[in-house]
Amino acid sequence: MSATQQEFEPRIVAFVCNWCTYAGADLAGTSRLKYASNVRVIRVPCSGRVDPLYIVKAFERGADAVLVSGCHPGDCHYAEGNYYARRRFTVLRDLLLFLGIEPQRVQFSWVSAAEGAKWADLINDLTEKVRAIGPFEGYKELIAAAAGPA
Amino acid sequence: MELGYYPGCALKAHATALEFGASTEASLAALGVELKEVPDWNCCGASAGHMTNSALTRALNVRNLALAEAAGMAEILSPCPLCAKELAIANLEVNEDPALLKAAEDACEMTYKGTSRPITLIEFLHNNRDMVAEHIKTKLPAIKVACYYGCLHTRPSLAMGFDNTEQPVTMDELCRLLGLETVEWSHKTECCGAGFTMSKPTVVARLTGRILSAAAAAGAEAVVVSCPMCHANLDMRQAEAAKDAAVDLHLPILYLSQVLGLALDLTPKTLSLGTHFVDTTEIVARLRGEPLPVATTEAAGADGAEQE
Amino acid sequence: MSRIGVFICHCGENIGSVVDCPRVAATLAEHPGVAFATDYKYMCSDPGQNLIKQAIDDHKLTGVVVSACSPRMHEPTFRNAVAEKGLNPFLCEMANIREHCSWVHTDNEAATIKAIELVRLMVEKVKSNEALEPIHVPITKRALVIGGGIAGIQAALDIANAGNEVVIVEREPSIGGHMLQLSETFPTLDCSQCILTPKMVDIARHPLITLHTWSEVEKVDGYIGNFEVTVRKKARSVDLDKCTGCGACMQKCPSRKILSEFNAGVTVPDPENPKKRLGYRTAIYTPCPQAVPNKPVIDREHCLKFTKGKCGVCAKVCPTNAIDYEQEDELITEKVGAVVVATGYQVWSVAEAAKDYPYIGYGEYGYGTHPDIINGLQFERLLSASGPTAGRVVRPSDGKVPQTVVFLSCVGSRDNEKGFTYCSKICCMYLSKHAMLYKHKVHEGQAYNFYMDLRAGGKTYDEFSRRTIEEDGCIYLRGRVSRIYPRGDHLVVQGADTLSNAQVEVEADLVVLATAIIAQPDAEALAQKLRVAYDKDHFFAEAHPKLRPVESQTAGIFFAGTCQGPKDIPETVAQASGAAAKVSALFSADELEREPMVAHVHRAPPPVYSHCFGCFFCERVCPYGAIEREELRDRKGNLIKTVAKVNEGLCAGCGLCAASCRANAITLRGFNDEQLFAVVNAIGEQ
Repeated sequence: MSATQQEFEPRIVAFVCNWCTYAGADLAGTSRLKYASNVRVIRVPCSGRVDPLYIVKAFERGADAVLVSGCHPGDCHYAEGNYYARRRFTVLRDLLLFLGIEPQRVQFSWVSAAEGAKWADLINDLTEKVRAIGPFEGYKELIAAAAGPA
Repeated sequence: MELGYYPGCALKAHATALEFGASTEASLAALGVELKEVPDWNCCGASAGHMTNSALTRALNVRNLALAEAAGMAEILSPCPLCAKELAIANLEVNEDPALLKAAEDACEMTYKGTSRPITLIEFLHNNRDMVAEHIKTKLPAIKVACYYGCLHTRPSLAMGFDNTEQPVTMDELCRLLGLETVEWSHKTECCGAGFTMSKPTVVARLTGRILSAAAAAGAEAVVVSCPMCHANLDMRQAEAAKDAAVDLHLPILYLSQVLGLALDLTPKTLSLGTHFVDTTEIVARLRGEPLPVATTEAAGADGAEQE
Repeated sequence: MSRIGVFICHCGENIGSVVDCPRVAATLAEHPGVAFATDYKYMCSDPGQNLIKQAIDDHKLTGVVVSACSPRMHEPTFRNAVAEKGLNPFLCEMANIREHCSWVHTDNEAATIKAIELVRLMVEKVKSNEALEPIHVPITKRALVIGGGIAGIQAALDIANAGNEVVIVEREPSIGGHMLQLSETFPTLDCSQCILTPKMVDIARHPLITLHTWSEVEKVDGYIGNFEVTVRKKARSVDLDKCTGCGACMQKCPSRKILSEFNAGVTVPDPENPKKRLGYRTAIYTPCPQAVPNKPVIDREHCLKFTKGKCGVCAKVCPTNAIDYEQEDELITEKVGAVVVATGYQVWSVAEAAKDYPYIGYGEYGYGTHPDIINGLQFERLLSASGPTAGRVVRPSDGKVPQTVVFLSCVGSRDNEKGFTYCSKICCMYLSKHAMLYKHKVHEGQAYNFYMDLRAGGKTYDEFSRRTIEEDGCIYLRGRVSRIYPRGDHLVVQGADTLSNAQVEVEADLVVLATAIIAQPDAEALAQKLRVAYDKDHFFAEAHPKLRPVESQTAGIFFAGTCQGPKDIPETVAQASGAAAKVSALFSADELEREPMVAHVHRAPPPVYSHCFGCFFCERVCPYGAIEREELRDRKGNLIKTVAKVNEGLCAGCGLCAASCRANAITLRGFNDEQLFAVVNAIGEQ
């Protein structure tokens, strides 16, 4: 991801729940829908499993955008996990925005096991949005500043 | 006590229901209620207005409500339920949607904060029934009457919001308070044909025939109403109704305000009981505990206008 | 020291035509910790699986990553394969390079690079995987069935016939439920009691079934395999051991004008004595002659002895001294391993709707004030040979045989404004049956049915309904009824026939309203006792509407019958057998084996004992109530702190607790922090 003249390819990390979004992404695959190849999916049992630190770590490790996706309200396989995920995510997002991270980089969505098309559209949209705002340099700048003059 | 008053065209301006207006004003005065007309009130749009242009009708009624509000009236007595309904619906709509309120305010060039509301005669008397009970001078005899609420007193339920939609009881309770006996009957809220009385009277004849037959079958000797439209159809069209239903009908149609007035010892003349189509001479005599008038060949006109 | 084996599948052309599989294998072979990497056409085939097994032996693999289709497809396949070679199955993971890669990307180069990354992520995860063993929970091989209607009866018989003990708790004095009240059932016109009572007797005689009638579930503690249920056996006032069911008490009881619940409250004039009415019950009563157990209870709210201190005739005439006025409620505890909820439905009454005055309910149908406007269950009682009229159809008002009967569909069902939004499913069919039976009993009679749709979806249902129209002359009018009112001796039914575009007025002698099937009034309370979910209409919520219709989301609790939603008898019986099969499967092992991906609270040696400091935030967020409290004590027995403990039987493995824990003291096995951070850390690597 060096700043070269060639087109910037965003790196998107997606934490998705096993029962709904992962299955929805599988459906996009079985339906042979086409979408941008920029996303790396990390499977968790429930969107409620996602610890805010994973998201922060993902940015540290070079993600340009992070997506957390779970079941629609009321459909969570574990009854309530997605509600906690949303609330936790809302608080985290406020914090990240306060730190200066652009809102487009931090996304939350509901994708059900039947919504293959929605998954494909979501990744395509997100990829283009992040491509437009460029790579996430914030963390590197922070580390460089903390390291002091080399 | 003071009470805002919206008589509407039937009770005042065109006085097509002169009896209702006169008897309401007289009875309420006898109860110690001072009626203050909404200053410069205008038409409520209940006839042609609400069917042709809803924005116009809303503006007409927001103006009425704003005028009442400016005069400090929290409740506006609208004895005619058609007027009451228009005012109530306008109130509901502008209170829910600020855009509609703004449009109506702009049209009538007034501001309305939403603090006024219309109230029908039945609801007002029901809310103040203790006061009514205290003022009764002569309890009426237990003559059987059928209370007819018509289509609008309890509907639409979101706007009118009073009493049970299908089986209302408040007017019955008031009549019993006055001493009358009320009958349980099947057509309390059935349609009488309303405005078809002008455009297609055969419909009204059919529908009122059913209503009046049901009242008679339940044993009623008179029907008590609280609406000029109900009165017009049940009274004015009774002959045609009887013909359509092929029954003999002689049911005097009395306004709630008239029977109230009788219990307050007001005279039939004050209560305008002499101008009905269906003769009320006999029923009024019985209600007042007087001997029945003797039927002679020189009996004055069919409408009994000379009775006193 | 990690020795991971990486296996890249071509999946024929599915992956191989897009992703350069040999290149992926070659790249991963260089990755630290990877001892062996290869590609193959079909990993899930026998040769493919053998490839893995051989590699485990040859390279002493400590972990396996199969990069192929979705783990939702073949994870169990590969996990079983590695287990056969002695490698713990939870040390095998899959990277999804088909559904998530080759099938959705067109740029082969980008897809190959993505595939390499996805495999690398899984390799890093597996390095942190722990070997996990399935959890074993003991099982009490007894089932509790709540409700003794046809659903409960069928479930109980199936479970007992499979060799396990069953306890049935039934609220009424007898089992049988609503099916016992019916006359004949569609579409076969079987006599309901004739087909039900043999099953009821089977229940009574079954050596493995314990029956508690006139009883209710008071409290439910525990978890799957280990429930402890408190049952309140209400005071019958009759000693069941002494009572022989002779019925002398009922014959002599002077309180004879109590509305009978079994007759759905309908009474008719006595043809022999018009001043009297039939259909009541006595204060000491059995609901019907075929009651099981056929022993009475005393209704203390109406019994003279209990309300006024008088009478006592039943005790005097009882030949075995079985009456016991001093009897009190008894609380007993039943230990069971599974619960089947079969509590059934009730029929919505428009009379009761009036209590929600003034906007709910059907005032236009009279609010239940007219005796000749009755509901479907009441009409069943009139049709029934065990009913107040021994099967003659008469008007409750004057006892005359009605010549015109009008049936109304959908009273309260499918109504967004003032009823219930759902379809009650059985009314179209039972109204057809009612019209048919009415015509069979009153040959010159005429039936009308005001309907919205005719829902006859079951086997031979449509043919049955057609018979009502074609053979029994019932006139079906598609339209709603706007008003019913009395006129003289009759009832005027005003409605519409939308197909002929006409207003219709029928002068009826009797009107039958098909009122909605609704949940029991205490369904919510029971659901909360059991910790199961329920929907907005208080029907119990199944785990998955299509694939798991008899299970609740609470392990060990199953549903059968109308308590889960309106349905007819064939469906109820099928569902009851389904629930019984689930219970039998649960009981088929000596111990319950559950997936080990459950939460776990860290323990540590003294003086730390545990990173958990007892805030119990995990307890608050756990949807399953799986967090318990454990007191940590030193050797002297002094309390050090109370920490969280996971009940592995209840834990479903969602990980909410792990994500919520402030002290990082609780983790989710299989998806713990170490594993997930390993995956995230692997993202940046080139």
